[in-house]
Amino acid sequence: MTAATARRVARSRAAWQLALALVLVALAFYLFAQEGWWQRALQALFPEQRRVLYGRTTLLQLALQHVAIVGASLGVVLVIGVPLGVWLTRPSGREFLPLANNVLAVLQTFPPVAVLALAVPAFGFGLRPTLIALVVYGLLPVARNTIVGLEGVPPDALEAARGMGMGPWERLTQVELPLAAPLMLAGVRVSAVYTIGTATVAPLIGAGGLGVPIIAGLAVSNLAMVIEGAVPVALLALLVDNAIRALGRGRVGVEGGPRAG
Amino acid sequence: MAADDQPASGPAIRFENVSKSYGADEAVDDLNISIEQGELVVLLGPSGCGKTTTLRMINRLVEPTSGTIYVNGSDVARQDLQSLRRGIGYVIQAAGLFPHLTSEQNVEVVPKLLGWSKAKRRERARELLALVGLEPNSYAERYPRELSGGEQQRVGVARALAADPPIMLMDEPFGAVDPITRDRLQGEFQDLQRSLRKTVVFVTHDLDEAVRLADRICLMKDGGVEQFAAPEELLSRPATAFVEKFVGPRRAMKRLGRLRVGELVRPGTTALEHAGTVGVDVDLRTALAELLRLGVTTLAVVGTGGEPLGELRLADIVALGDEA
Repeated sequence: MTAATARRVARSRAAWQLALALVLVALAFYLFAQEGWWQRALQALFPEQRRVLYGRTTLLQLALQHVAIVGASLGVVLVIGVPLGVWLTRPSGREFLPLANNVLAVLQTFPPVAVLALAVPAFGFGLRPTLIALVVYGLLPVARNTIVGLEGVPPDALEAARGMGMGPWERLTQVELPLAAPLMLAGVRVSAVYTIGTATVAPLIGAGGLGVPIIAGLAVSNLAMVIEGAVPVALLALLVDNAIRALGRGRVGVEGGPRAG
Repeated sequence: MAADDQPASGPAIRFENVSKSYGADEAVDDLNISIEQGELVVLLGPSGCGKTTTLRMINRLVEPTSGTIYVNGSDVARQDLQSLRRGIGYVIQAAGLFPHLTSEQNVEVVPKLLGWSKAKRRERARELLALVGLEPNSYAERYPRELSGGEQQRVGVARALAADPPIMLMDEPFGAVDPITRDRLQGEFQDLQRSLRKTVVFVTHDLDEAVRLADRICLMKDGGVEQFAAPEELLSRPATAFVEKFVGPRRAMKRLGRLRVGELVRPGTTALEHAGTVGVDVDLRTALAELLRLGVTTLAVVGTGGEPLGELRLADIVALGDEA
C-alpha cells in the first residue's frame, strides 16, 4: 500500500468516525426526548420515590438549554482565547506572556462555584454571570494550547517562511495556525468538556440547563432527579469529546506537527 | 520581479562597505565583494566568521548596520521586502519544509504568493520535483515526515527554484544529511547548476564541499574576507597564514580533485605500452589512486570516444603537488 493510498484510507476512516460521532450526539438527543423511558427506568430503580423526574421542564428542553449555555460560552472562549494566544506570541505581546500564563492559571484554580459566587455581586443573577463564570473557566485550555501550539512551530519552517517572502499575516495563516491546529483543537475539546460539566452549577444563580434537576434533586434528597440531570451531562461530555477528537483525526497531514505533551 | 526586467549586466550581488554589529560584536566588518551573474560563490569559514550573516543580509533577514547591498544594481534596502525575498531562492539546513504541506504544496508556496494559477503552479511543482530526482507521481503527495533527509533537501531545492529566481541563497543546505547522501546531493546540484547557471551564494564550513562546488570561494574570518579566489588559487596560493592553516596540509590532494587528467597529458604515446588507461575527463585524484593501485608510473590517456591521446606520468602529478 502506498503512502497516498494509506492516507486516503485514513482520511475516509476519519470521515466515517466523525459522521458516527455526530449520529451518536443526535441519538442522545432522541433519547433525551423520550420522557416516558426515563420515567419508567428511574421509577424501576427507585420504586419508593413518588416523583422521579423534575417535570416542570422536560429533559429535552433542559438539555437544549445546557447546550445553548455551553455553546455560547465556548463561542466567547474561542473569540477571546485564540486571538489572545496569537497576540501573546507576537513581538508586541510577548512581554505579557508570563503574566498572562499566571493569570490564566490562577483563574483555573478557582472552583466554579466560587467563580459563580463572585460573579453574582458584580453582574446579578441569570445568564450573564453564568456565561462570564464559564468563560473565565474555559479560557485557559484554549489560550494555553494556542500559545503552546504556536510556540511549537518548528523554527526552521518559520525561517523558511520569512526567507521565501511571507509577511507576518501569511506566516500566521499559512504556516503557524495550520501547524498549531491539532493542539488548539485539543484545547477546545478540554474546554468543551469542562464547560459541559461546570455548567451544571448554573441553576444556582438562576440560569437553566441540566443542572436544574441535579440541584433540585440534591435539595430534596431525590437521587432519581439527580440522575436525570447527571447521566445526560456525562453522556453529552463523552459524546462531544469523541466528536471533537474525530474532527482532529481528519487532519492526518499535520500529525508531524507539534503535539500535546 | 524587478530583477528580471533588467538585462544581466554588472555583478548580480555587490556588497559595498557593509558592516553588521550586534552590540560591540562585529559580525561582519566592512565587507566589499562582488558576485557575478551565474557564478557560484561559496562563503566559507569557521563558525562565527560572519558567513551566514553575510548571506542573510542579501535577502534582508538581517539588516546591515552600515553599508549598501546591491542586487542586480539596485539597493536592497529600497526594495519591497516581500517581493525582494520572493525573487530570491532560499534553501536552509534541514530544508525547513512546512510539515503540514505535501512536497508539491511546499514547492508551490512562492508561486502561490506570486499569484500564479493553480494549474500553472501544479505543473511547475511537478516539473521541479522531477528535476531534483523525485518522481512526481510517487512523491508529490508525500508529507515531509514521509521523506528521508536527502529527499527533504531535494524538495527544499525544488521549492527555492519554484519561481525561477535568478539568485539562490543556500545556507549549509547539505549540512544535515549523512556523508553518502551529501556526496550524491552535491554531485546532483553540480549538474543542476551547470544547466541552470543561477547566481548562487552558498554557505558552508566544509572545505571539501566548497572546493567541489565553488566557482570562487570567499574565505572569511572574524567578519572579514581572508581570500576571495577560485578554489585552485586558494589551495595553491593561500593569501594569508590563516588561509594556509584553514586549507591544511592535505590541500595538495584537494587541489588534485579539482584538476583533470587533460591538464597533464603528454601527447604522442600509444596505449599498448601501458598497464592501464584513464579518461581525459577524470580528476587527478582518481587518476593518482589508479596509478597507485596498479603500481605503475604511467597510464595511457584516452579521450571521451576512447581514442588515445597520450600518457599521464606519476612524476608530473608529484611535481604539481610540490608546487602547491
